[in-house]
Amino acid sequence: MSFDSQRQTAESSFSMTQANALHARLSDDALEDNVLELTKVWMNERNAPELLPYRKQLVDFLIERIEDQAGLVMDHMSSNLENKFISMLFQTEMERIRYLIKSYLRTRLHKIEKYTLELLRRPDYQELMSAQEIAYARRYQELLETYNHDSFLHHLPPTQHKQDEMHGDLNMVVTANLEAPVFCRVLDDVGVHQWMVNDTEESTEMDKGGTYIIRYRAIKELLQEGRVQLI
Amino acid sequence: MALPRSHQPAFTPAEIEFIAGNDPISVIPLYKMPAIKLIQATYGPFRPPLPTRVPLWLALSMKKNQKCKLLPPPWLTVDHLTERLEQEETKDEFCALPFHYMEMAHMILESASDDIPNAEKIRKLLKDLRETRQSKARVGLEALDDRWLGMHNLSFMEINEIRPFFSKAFNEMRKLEF
Repeated sequence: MSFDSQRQTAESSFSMTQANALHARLSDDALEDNVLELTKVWMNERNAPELLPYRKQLVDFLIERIEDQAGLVMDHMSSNLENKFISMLFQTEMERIRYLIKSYLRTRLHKIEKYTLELLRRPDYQELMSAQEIAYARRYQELLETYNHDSFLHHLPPTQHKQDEMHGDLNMVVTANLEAPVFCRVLDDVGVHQWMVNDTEESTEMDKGGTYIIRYRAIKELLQEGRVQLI
Repeated sequence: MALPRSHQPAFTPAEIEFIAGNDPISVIPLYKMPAIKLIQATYGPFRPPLPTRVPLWLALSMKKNQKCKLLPPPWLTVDHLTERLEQEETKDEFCALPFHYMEMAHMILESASDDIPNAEKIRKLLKDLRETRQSKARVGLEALDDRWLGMHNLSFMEINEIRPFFSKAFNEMRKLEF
């Protein structure tokens, strides 16, 4: 079998000694590289079904560096062909980092629009979202509720006006689906990892460099600790 | 939509190339250039004919402007890929390949095929590798359930390819088990 699952007898996957040297620097812990860190954070955010905490220092740091760099490029603008090429390199890198930041923020906004009310009601919402995102979430929620009310709700009897009711198992407020599958890559040896599904316990051996498709809830804590990465 | 619909289920191939662009590669500069102080790190100084390590996007940019020659990474040779292909065809598991092998090979062959010896043979080997691995991935689909599935040594592009389908299948199975 090319894949292993808990149905098979345990068999460690391919020896990765040589591969480790070739394998992506995703598992590298070498230098403190903010761009690589932001790439990792962006990939996690894209793949995770819920909103992850906002990395304010990272984003602010990179925005500041981009602005510094932009100033430098302006100062060194000249018609010298050699310098044109070098300033093109500077600008390419700035565009790359800008794209990362924009995509990161867009992914977060997408999730905020999906789960607005749930996020605003969480006790730790201020660590989760930046100040601008909180303001955005509030305005968006207000907009949505006013729209719903003005377009059709006001025709219904007043008892039906609430937009966040719970009825048995069904909740009007949209919550993130933590059971969604994610692809993850193990950065540190975790050994045997266990989690609960319904009432049964599942477990699997997770070694460094392994790739798994698994439900998000099972590795949520490992993700927070930085021991796995979503890919 | 804050995130365009095409970006929602998986990464686009362009984004995957973008991510692979950060991987380092060696180049041989053709002209003398001073060190470049970028936000990520400082690269250079470039003194021909000494090889220098730079990120792939930088190397390709320089190559397009005829400022350097690319040195193929150690895994992008006929011998290495032939060996991997043999392993792939005989073993059941996926053989170890660099995480970004597909995108990197594609980008390098596109812009710098003259720097790679036997480019045609390498293209063919990569195509065979990809097809073998794809058929293995299809076989592995049978092992998918709503618990977990290990798929080690799968490269990023391949994961991205199967992501929408595997995720949907997993979700459906999860709902059924309830």
